[in-house]
Amino acid sequence: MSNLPDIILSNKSKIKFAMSLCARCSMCAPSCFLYRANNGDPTYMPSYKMLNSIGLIFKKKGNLSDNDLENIKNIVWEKCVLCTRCYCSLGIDIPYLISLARDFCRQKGVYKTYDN
Amino acid sequence: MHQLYLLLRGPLALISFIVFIGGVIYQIIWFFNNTKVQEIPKNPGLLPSKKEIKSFYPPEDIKKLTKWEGSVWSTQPYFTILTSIFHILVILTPIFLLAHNILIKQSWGIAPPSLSEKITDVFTIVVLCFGAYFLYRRIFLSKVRIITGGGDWLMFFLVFLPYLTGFLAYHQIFSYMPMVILHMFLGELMLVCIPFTRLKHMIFFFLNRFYLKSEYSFFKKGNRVWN
Ligand code: HEM
Ligand code: HEM
Ligand code: SF4
Ligand code: SF4
Repeated sequence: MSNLPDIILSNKSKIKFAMSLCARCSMCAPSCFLYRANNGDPTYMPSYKMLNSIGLIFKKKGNLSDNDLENIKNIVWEKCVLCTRCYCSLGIDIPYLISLARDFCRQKGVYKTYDN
Repeated sequence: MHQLYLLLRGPLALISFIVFIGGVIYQIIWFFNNTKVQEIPKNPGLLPSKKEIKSFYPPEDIKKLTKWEGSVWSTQPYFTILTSIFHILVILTPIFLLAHNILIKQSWGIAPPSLSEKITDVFTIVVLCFGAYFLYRRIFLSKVRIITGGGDWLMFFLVFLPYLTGFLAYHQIFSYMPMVILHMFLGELMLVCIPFTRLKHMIFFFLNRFYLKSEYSFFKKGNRVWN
């Protein structure tokens, strides 16, 4: 059963397309300042963040465990600031796709709080 | 065995070419159906004048610099040069291979230009070395390994097995006939798979980078957005 909100469904072809196109080449890695600032920790790589947030949401059709949601929350708020500086050699719009994962999380009541 | 050879050499080769070209056309149509030219809102009162727009943007040389610094030519110059060489060879070799063009001549009577067999043999060896290098990256570099999945291995083998078997057949390292048959089968399989697997980047690299609106659109001419 698909459990995806409209914002994801209306972007379905774009998400599916990016997941199947991404050549997993890691060329985007050094274009993210957070990847560089964290000594090349691969979990800060734009493609990793895209594939493991919106990619996972899409693959599991929105049926995510609490643990998955926690991981995605960490990726899309702690590991990416949506500064849109990343560069994909194949022209994939990574920040837009990560922002969709944020939308999904908000709809599930999962978001970053700044008061503690 | 000879029957299988004739099947792969004749009808299946033709079918694979048709599926390949048809698949490419299908993907191009799909792309234009799923994107549209971005509409710029027409309320001139709110839009800055041409002169004002010019003053917003940094001078040309700074624009060039930031573009250069963000691109892979600056962040990973060595890998970018290597992968460019790989891509040129991976495309040129089969197209200008004498063995392939002789078959084309026999089938359709046209004789495309060929490089000498010595040169294409060296190209083949270089491509196979790149195969080893990409394999090394996929297995040992954590930034590549962490995102590698089944589809990436599929792409890897679809690309490099035709090269390996072509090489082995040319040098008759193992028994020739089974090797050529295997090579033809894998080569045709690869052609058929290009439009529908990760290898479709061959089509979408150009569509995305030339037609989609983005900071890194070639010549800044891209004006399409996704529906
Ligand atoms: C026709 C134009 C093509 C363009 C513009 C193109 C462009 C690219 C780009 C930008 C990448 C990602 C960066 C990289 O790893 O190099 C890539 C990766 C790759 N391409 Fe292509 N490509 C084309 C055709 C092909 C063809 C025909 C093949 C195979 C027969 C191929 C095989 C590969 C492989 C195996 C990778 C992944 C390398 C890795 O494992 O990291 N490409 N390509
Ligand atoms: C469409 C089906 C194909 C057929 C019928 C075919 C047929 C052949 C034949 C007959 C040979 C020569 C063996 C010899 O010298 O006796 C050959 C060699 C070769 N083919 Fe193909 N091939 C096909 C597709 C491909 C593809 C798609 C590629 C790579 C992308 C490829 C790459 C090679 C290479 C690299 C060699 C050997 C070059 C050398 O080491 O000298 N072939 N092929
Ligand atoms: S540069 Fe693009 S194709 Fe390569 S891994 Fe990053 S997102 Fe995927
Ligand atoms: S948008 Fe996110 S992934 Fe892209 S460069 Fe900025 S922080 Fe890194």
